[in-house]
Amino acid sequence: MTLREADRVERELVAIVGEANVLRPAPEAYAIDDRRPSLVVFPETSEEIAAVLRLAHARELAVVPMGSGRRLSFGNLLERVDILLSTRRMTRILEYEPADLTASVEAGCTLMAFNRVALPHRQWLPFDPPDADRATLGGIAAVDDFGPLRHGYGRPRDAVIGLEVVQADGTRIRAGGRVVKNVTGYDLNKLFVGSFGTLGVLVRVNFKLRPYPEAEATTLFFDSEWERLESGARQILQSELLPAALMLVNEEAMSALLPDHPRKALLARFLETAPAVVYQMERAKALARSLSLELVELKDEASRSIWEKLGRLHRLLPTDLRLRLSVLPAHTVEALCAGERALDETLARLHILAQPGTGIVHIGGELTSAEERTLSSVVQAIHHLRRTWAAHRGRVIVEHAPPEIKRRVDVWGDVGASLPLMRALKHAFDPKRILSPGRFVAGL
Amino acid sequence: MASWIAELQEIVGKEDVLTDPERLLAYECDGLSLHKHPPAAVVFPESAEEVVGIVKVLWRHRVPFLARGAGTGLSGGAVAVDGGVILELARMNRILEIDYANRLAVVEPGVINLMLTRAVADAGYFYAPDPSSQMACTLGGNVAENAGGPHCLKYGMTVHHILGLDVVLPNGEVVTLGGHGTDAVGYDLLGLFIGSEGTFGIVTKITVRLTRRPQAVKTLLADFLSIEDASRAVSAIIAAGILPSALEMMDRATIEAVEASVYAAGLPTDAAAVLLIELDGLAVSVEYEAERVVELCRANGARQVIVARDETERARLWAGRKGAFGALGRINPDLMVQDAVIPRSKLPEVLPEVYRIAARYGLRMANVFHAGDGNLHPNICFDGRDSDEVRRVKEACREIMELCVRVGGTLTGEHGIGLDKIAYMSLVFTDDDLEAMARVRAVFDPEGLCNPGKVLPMRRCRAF
Repeated sequence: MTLREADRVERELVAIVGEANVLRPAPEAYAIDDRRPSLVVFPETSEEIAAVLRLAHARELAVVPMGSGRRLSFGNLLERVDILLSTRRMTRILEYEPADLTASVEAGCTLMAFNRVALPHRQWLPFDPPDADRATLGGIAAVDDFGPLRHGYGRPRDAVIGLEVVQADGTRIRAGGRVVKNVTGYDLNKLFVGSFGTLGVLVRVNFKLRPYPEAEATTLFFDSEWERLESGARQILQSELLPAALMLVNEEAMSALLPDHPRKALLARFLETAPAVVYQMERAKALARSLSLELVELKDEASRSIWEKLGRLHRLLPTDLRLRLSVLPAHTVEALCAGERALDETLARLHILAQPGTGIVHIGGELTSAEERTLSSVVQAIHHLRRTWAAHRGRVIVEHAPPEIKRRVDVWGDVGASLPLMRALKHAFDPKRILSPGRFVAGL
Repeated sequence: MASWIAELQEIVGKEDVLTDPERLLAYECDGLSLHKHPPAAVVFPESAEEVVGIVKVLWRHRVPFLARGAGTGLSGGAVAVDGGVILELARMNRILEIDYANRLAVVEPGVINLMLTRAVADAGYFYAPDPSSQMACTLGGNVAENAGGPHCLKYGMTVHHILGLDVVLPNGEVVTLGGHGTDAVGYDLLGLFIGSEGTFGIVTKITVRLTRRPQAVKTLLADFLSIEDASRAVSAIIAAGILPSALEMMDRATIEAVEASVYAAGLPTDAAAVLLIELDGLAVSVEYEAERVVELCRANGARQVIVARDETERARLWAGRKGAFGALGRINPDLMVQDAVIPRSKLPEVLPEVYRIAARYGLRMANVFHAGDGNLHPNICFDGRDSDEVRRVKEACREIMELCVRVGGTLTGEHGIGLDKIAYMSLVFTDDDLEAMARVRAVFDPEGLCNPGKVLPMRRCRAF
């Protein structure tokens, strides 16, 4: 954007949202990777968002929607970013009827704020993405952002029942509705959830909720060998037990979570009726005995707190790079070992979180140096993992990396034969490519 | 004979291309007899390669086509409206792979829903979505409709249990949607495709999630002297934080029909409504929650709550529920199995109004439905030969739809739009909403050849 154009855009944005709600220049804190947006705008209503997009569409300015901003660097490097569009002022809970077990919120409403209102009704949204303490519900939906609770509760994608979206040209549409079961027309919720702000701006999200469990506890099993912990995980998965989360954690990560126990561990979180939590902890104890695994039990607040810490792990440990592998559940341990081997030399304080029930493996750490040699060896490692695991339906996504690495590798990897359909969808919903251009798969 | 018929015969053989008008009659409607349109031909492919071949021929000749499974759909979705060709996939019925370690199975689209659950039962697994037609309906049809069933209250719809699809696009190209057990990257084409009612392409391979059978199951039957009490009990159970695996309601007309049929389950014929409530999970939880459910039912006016003592009793109760449509169909020439969804807290307000609408049009109605989801199935009994009655059925249905939409509900929870509900789409969606849907459809099917005339209304000579 030229200076003169930026002046004009600023004036027009001020006319829409008021002077106090436009920032120019964008402060350093709003940089995405190494790119600084020209302006940041804070609309308060979907009408204002529609007006901002009409303006951007007419002038072909790149708009990047943001919630809390915690996931802005998830994706390929943006080609352009003229306007950063924050939903920070759109925080209302629009409808919440506990007897329906559904709710409708503005995109900027945070997960924590919503759950604070729902908990007295013994209901909640069972999401625990990284930095859940800051996450907005619009952001969670746009990224389909999940954490360990995916094991027991599924992904946010499975809980979104309706959306209001402002399209690239400023037209507003609704998808789905407010009921929990709905096959009326095409399910456009699925199109927008997980689209990373590249098809439209989510302004309102409707969710189905879950009953909040009566009790909770976490059992930690420790050992020095993955194989024995894996066998514990497999036995749990094949038993009648119903953990809400199941996680293999390496020594480095455990040292941050529970400093007295810096060993490989398997964590099983039980969220259930009180008698069922007691029952499952007893079963877990018996399992630990039969496999000669060491065991620690955490109840209530202590249990909650270790999982909250786990969601902040990348803040507790230096994390320049974070990969997500998705493999068949039976391959989880094999994949985490392969990831560890591939990155061992380039990452210090390498930490691993792996879900043996879903096959999701996260590997993070601190780059040992910023030298060319290190960077190219990280890129080699990513390519190597992708090649190895493609044959087993595995995927490797770069969730977080410095721009120097993103310049050398597509963070999403290969899409396959469905890429033409995705391109066509992008073109159908954002023909001028003004929404988060370049961020998504294949640089869409 | 059209030249494309000869080309199809070359692919599948002469016997497997039906063109004889009398034999085509079997394909003129699906489970909803209101809409009758005979196809130009029916083809029986036996492999994905044959499907690709057939689709390429029809694409080249610009002949519309659609896939069909068991034809049990209830929205007129599996009929060829404008002289199209039906690809009958019933012969593609192999279970290709069962992988317990990764809790998945790979199947062809013609596999019958219940057959899959039977195939994995001994190992302690099941396939969760269980539409009432599960003894007949195919998994390919379930994918097309995003089928539900009584147990989706806890376990979710078909879309929550499909891990990957191989799809033949309308131009004959083959794509894989979803990761078949891992997370695919990019837009969620898998989720978008499921429930697209056969308008985005034809599925040739499905990877489904297998679910571990719970440790314990308990089935309760509560009977009520008023529908409102039963509705309030439903709300009370949900509000108490209990998520039953199923929470079904049957009204008196349904109970009477069931008890007079082979599905007789010993239901109290003097009750205004019964709730069939199923809890599953860990034995200790199920015991604990069952006690609370009994209390909540009693507190909301239940006359009696009985707990099925064993698997035989449980199976008998479910046979009564799942046979309800058959029992109703048996005593009436035609049956309109309606489908609509409302926020569940609106049940006490909406149900009496639904009965009033039927009464106003002089129609006999029986309600049997997924109360826990707020998913209504008002079943209207009629005689399709009586044109005045057919008109009244249609008008009553429109009023019921308008009522459900007015209270925040929607047109269909599991049967789909098909042909039957196109006219109501604008009750729920704006022109802009529909136009966005039309854009998605055009991405998958730019020529409008794949199951045309379904889901979206036509405006200005194009579907939207």
